[in-house]
Amino acid sequence: MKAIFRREFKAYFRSPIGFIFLAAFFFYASLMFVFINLNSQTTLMKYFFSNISLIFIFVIPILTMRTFAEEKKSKTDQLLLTAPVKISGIVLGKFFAAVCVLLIAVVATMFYILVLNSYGEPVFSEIFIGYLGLFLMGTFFISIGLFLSSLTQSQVIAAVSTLAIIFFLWFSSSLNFQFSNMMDGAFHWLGVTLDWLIEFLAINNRFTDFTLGVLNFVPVFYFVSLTALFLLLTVRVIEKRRWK
Amino acid sequence: MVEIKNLTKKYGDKLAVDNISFSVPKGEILGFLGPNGAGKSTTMNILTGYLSCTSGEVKIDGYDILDNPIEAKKRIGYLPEHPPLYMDMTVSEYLDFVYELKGATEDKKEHLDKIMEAVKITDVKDRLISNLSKGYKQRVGLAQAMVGSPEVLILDEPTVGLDPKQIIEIRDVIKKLGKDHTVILSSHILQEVNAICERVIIINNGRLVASDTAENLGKSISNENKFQLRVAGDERTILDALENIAGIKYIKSLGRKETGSIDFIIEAEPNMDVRTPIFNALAQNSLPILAMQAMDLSLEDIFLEVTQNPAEIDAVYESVSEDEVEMVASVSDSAETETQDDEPEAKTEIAEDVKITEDMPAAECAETAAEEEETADSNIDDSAAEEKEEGDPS
Repeated sequence: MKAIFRREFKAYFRSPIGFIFLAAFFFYASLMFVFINLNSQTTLMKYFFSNISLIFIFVIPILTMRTFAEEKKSKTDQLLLTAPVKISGIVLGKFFAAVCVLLIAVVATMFYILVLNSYGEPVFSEIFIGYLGLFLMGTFFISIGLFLSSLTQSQVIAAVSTLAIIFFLWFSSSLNFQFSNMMDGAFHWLGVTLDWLIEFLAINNRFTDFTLGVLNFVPVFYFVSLTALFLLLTVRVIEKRRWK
Repeated sequence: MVEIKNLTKKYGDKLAVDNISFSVPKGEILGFLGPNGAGKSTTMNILTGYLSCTSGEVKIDGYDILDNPIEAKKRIGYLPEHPPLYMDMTVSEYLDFVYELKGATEDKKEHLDKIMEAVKITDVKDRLISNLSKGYKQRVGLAQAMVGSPEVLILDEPTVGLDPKQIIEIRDVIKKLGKDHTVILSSHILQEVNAICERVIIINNGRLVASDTAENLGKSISNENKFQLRVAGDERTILDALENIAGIKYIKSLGRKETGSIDFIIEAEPNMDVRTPIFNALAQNSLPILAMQAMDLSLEDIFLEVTQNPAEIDAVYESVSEDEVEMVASVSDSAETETQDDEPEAKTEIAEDVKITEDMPAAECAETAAEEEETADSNIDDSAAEEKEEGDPS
């Protein structure tokens, strides 16, 4: 796992991908910081967090698209899968490499806290919980990206499908209770089920707690368990490939 | 060391590997022969744990590849058909990574330096793999398989894409490795297998069709008594001169390849050396011999031997061999125009070939024909290389 982690992490910065990811993230984050915090002269980072998590939808797929798709296409997966390492080790190595790049991005924006601190009195605990939420959500998106990348040989398909799914998870909260209103009579149960499902998947509802500075067990468990689920699915997909 | 029992692999309905069993003792170099699509790569992928078999079992040093994959894989070095190289790394970075990945315990610098020296990639070690030529990539792939000194080396067509000089070098490396490793090597070039392997397995359509030592296999279908002859003079006169030599099974005229000369294929009875009588007979009639060359057997010849029923063999044999002579002739001809002339002929020969092997399924025939062209090409490379090695072209 260590070898794969190190190779993957270095690979992000050997190609432009890591730099593009960081540049896009920093550009958008700084823009939000200037508009939301500096212009309105507030130390509340609540809106900053909910806005900045939006950029994840677009940059996380960049980070994860090549992980397994490229290996499969260039047949380098033959090296990994015939080496004396477990498949879970391969998946975790790649996962942690992507998570580390994400961590660099997130931690670097903590510079803003210093700026806030020199002009006002930010509440550190609230801000750190916000950062924790941002990070957990990022890792969840990464696990989705890894899973979709393991399903295809094409980086483009991996990226676009990751984007579509994260996008849906993100905006599904604005669909609240639409289906049960729409579907009357015989199909009402279906509408209710769909609403429940969307309510469950809607990431915003879980993420809001973090942005408000509330550390709840449920949303933490939500992100961590779903991340683990997608990593497990990725392992299964790769294992299953041998049996095709 | 390697044990394979009743190995079967199905892709949907298609049977890729059909009930293959064999075992390879420690320190043996086993050649794995078969045309494209015969199931060589599939078998190798199963041996290394990349694919799973539908039924059967694979044991490496007593460890089952499915039940105990980590232990089994520790003992295997694998060079797949396409070397699994990361294009964005330099050669030494890549080998470093493989070293870590395999959890090798040797002294890193010394071990990797030794491997790079053995496959002669030391001078490109700081270059990006994406910038290397195909031959170098192939060698980096071989180096990768050697990292960690695994006891079993599985090499899928290790000399593909190399020039003749490199082929000889890599063969030497493999031979050396065979002294303290078990090597399984696939190829569709007979010379290669002959030169390196102690034992040969031939598979076709996923089935094992022959398994023997290279020597025995060579002997049973050997054709050392068949050779090609180029004589200056008139066809009629030459045939008259050769007519009375005892021990000639048949003479077949191939027509004019070079101005003022005729080419023949001559086959002698078993255990008869007719070369001296032929020389004497022609010399008496002042018909100068311009070339006399033993005919190399290609994999296809052997392959057809073991896969065809006996009645068909002779017919197939002739046309295949002719085809080969055609190729040899076009190489030895210095005039380019003649080489061009030869090409359409070669094609018709192949077409004939396909006709003869009518009994085979159509797809297979086409494959065999394509394969023939390819192998004939590589044969030329090989014979050229071997001549070079001996330092005596004649």
